Amino acid sequence: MNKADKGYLVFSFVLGIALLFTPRLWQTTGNKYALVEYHGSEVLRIDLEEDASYEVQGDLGPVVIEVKDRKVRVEKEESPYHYCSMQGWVEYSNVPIVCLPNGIIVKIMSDKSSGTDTIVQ
Amino acid sequence: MKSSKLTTRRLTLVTMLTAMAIIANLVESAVTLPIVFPGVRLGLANVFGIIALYMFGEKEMLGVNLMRVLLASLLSGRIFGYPFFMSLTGVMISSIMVIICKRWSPLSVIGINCVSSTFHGVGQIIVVMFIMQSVEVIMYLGIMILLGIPTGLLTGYIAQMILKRFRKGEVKNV
Repeated sequence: MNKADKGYLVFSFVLGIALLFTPRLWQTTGNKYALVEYHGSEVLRIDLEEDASYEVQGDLGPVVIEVKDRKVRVEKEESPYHYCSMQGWVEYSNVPIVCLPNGIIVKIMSDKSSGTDTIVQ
Repeated sequence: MKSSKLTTRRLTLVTMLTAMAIIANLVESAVTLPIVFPGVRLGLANVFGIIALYMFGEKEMLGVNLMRVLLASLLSGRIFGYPFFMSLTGVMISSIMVIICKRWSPLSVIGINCVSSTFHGVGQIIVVMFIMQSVEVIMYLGIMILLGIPTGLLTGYIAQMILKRFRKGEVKNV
């Protein structure tokens, strides 16, 4: 491994951390909610204060979304690998839950950041 | 006569590399890593593309990589599904970046493998962004890039060890 390799590793580490943690900085305040989208269009807006279970229709079948202690997860879905239910509970907006085979995406948003996100989109 | 022999040897080696890459790809898609993040793999199949690049050239690497994605998808029965397009875009972007870095940067085999692993993730995320019509998926790229560092290093070391043995002549009459 030479100097250039090490330089590239540092660069990719910084880039990875920045991509992972920048969205969290935007969402320090405001009420959190989970937004469920089906192929880019909003199908459900979930209040994270209330523990409950929701069901939306995906491409391969129903996707069951569970909310507990302000965290959200995909409880059940029909897909070849069940990646999104394996992802488990999500509390921050860093990583959205993506159910690619079902075309469903669950992301945590906050009231304050929603305006900015609309502009970005 | 001599040149035709060389061409046959070259062709055989490239074909064998492709076959090994396909097997690695199929095994990898059957085994998931203990750290569960969708789409994150060790990238063992990528090693064979890198070996083809260093042993033969850019065209051979593109051949090994593209045939690997095409045939592995065909064999697993997932051809033209979304994982196929994710792999294809990932492999195309990573191959282009690898060629650029090999030509114009001082990166070693290990560094080149890390570049390949990073840009594989970039290509996949582009497809996911397109399918899901969502920009937020880009946050996922952070995880892909971070996990790409250890996997890129590991596969880079493997590629380096294999290439060293080939150069030393330890592997003969392949």
